[in-house]
Amino acid sequence: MSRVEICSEQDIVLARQVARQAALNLGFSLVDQTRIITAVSELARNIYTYATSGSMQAQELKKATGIVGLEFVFEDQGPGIDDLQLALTAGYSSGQGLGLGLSGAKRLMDEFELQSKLGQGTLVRVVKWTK
Amino acid sequence: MDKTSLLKIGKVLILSIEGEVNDFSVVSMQDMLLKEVRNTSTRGVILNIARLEIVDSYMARVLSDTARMIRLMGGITILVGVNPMIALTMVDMGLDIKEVKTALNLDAALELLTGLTTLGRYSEESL
Repeated sequence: MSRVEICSEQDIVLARQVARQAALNLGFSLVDQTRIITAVSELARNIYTYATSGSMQAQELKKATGIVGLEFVFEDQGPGIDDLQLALTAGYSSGQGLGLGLSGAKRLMDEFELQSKLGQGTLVRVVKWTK
Repeated sequence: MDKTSLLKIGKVLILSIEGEVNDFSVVSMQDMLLKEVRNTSTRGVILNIARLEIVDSYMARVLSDTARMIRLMGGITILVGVNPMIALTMVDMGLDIKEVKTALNLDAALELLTGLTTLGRYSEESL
């Protein structure tokens, strides 16, 4: 399990490096490695852009069937998201982005969970299984 | 850390973006490139991302913004080196950079630019 504190642009790069190493260790295909690193990049940047600071926690998971996966939890105490449905709509952005960060990360991973309360922060949990 | 190289061949600038670029260095790269386009009266710019690990929504936006800025300045931008993993991931995410022309490799990009700038010259002359 590894943890990355996100409070600068360089920390987004660090989060990607941690994700790449973890994906490599679990034997993900090159395409899935790229998907994982891209999703992590989007979610780490969301923290930096909207909440200024937060953290990413990465850990390996194992199903009863023996299938392994990677879980990333992104947490911040930022402003939170008012309308979760809207935030997940492709193309919608409250900031300067393309509005594809959250929806894109969701599409790239196998599991996606978003919890947020206005004024209290946001938690995003994503998982990719090696299948 | 990130490494970028800027090469000039005739009227073409080739910017290769490599390695671990952070958001700030991507923007300063864009800045440097635009200044170079102006200072060298470049007609064509090739953005080579063959050594780039991923293209996320931020990088996609910077690439397409850069191409639009260069177009406003009178130049043409071609993106090369999009590997299969990046192409797959971008399509999965719904990312597209329609403003930017693409070519399979540097050779194809140079060929395309020569064709486009020649065509450009003909149409200017015919006006």
